[in-house]
Amino acid sequence: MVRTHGPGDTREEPPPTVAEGVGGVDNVGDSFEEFYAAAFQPLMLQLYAYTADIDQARDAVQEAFSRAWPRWNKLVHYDRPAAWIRTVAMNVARSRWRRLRAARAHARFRRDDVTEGPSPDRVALARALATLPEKQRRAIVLFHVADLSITEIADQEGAATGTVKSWLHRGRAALATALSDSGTEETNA
Amino acid sequence: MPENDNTPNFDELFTAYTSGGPLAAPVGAAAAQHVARRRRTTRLVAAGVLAVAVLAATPAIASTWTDQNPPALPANTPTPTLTTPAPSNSPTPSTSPTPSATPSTPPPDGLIGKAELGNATLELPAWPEYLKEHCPAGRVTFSDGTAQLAPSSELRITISDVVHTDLDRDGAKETVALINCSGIEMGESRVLAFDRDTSDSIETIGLVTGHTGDIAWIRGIRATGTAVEVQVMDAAGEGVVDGFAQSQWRTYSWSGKGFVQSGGPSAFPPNPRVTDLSISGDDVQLVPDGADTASGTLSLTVSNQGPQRATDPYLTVVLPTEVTVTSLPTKCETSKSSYGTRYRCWLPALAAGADSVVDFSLSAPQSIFDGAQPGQWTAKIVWGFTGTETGDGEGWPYPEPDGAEDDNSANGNLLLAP
Repeated sequence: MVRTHGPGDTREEPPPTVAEGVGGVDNVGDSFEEFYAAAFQPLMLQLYAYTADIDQARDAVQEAFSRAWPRWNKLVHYDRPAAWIRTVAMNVARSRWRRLRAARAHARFRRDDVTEGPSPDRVALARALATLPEKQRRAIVLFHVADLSITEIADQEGAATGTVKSWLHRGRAALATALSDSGTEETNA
Repeated sequence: MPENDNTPNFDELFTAYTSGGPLAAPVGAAAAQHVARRRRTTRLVAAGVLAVAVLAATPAIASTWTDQNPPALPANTPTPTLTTPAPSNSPTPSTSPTPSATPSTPPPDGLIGKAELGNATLELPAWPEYLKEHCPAGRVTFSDGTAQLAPSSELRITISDVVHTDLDRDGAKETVALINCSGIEMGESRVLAFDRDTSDSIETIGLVTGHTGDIAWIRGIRATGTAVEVQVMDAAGEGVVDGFAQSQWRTYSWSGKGFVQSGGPSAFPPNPRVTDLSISGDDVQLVPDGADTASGTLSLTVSNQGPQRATDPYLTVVLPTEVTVTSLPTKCETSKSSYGTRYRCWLPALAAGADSVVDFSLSAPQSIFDGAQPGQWTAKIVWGFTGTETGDGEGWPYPEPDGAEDDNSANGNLLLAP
């Protein structure tokens, strides 16, 4: 348990009305294991884009699954339980105390990874995203990686759609600058 | 997604990002379940101990005790009978002056045992805002020492300790309880005082103290004379290693109107294990030194901006697998992972205001510079926990001051010198 100073940070879990999805995993089976298998990679991509740190992303996702499991009977009836996991994972990643705690809880389960780690293109994009202010980065990740609509992001963030559009607009401009500054821009143009 | 920018095509960029192969091997649903199960077990066994944490790096607000700690009596609580003078024949602790007025009725016996308190309906003051939707307040019925807002609620209130002391110096003891409302993620501990009214009902005197000022958690209580001593912590929880948190005993007394701190320190000194470390380094130019190899030096500058001397700076450097290090700092461990070779090094103590340069002599096959992307080094500096006797937690980072962790990592390119 980690308490933080900011009252905004303590709202850990989204209300049960949350109903957005994680791209591609909306209709998985009811079992936690099946859900985990389907949702893990999309969530990792979202959290890696959000944190630019593969270990942090993995710990945050794993922590969110750990919290989901005791309440799985309830979560499974949500339209899109992966949205709940994503919100919790982003909250974990956002607070250094939660990160520390998650890292400690899940460290023993880290194995030496058999995948090759993020490709250079992914690394470059995540690092460029990391230079963005929190709100803009969050909006970009939700829109471009999690595939949420502007309305859904506005609902989730408690902001007006105009505000979300502004975050996206400014975020894209900043991202373009960051990508060209890094000299490693463009993945496929 | 309309994209009118003349710069990168974001749709393509992100499609490429999301459509590649797996990013990392799944840790596994079983591992997530294991952690959750362990937490539930821990909570069942030791709900009062499993606690929460925060680093109170902010300055203590010692002068606000009386302002912030009025006895927060709920509106519908009957007025406590605390001001009833004591009869002269009642047992009186030697430290407490006995009022000379001696009414014939003895004061109500406010000594309530832990079992009775844990199965009673108690009037609890409101919890802080962030816990209001998780923790019951007002008239709360306890069962076996706990209470919850709903059976499915993750957070629950637990009465973890009960002591008895004559707070109002009436010759009869009252009851002081350490109570917390906590769950996996967050929680709050507080000390409340209870008495009985003339009809033998339990009534709440008020809040002795909670997480006020620099108090991040309350670990214990003990009775002393006509006061209660409260053991307060400046940090707690799973993110905090053993021995990091500071604790103090602070004494609180009933003033007739509310509880005030009457003894013990009013603030924590700066935590001796919190200091602001930073690291920086430049791109490394590797110079061809043979037919196929190139070499160069990665120079990392580690600084301590204070305020404490960091006894055990712990440096982690990750280099591409193909790069070999021909000269390392003395106390380093090497491990391989899929994304490179990791060097974890204990550095000599670093005084506040001091910096030091750590050199890694590198050698690499020139072929690694053929790719489109330059190789990268990444480095991170923390003040590391040296571990328990069994080695548990070795290298675990002590927290940085609030907002000071951004400069704890650095990265750069490995380039072939032209």
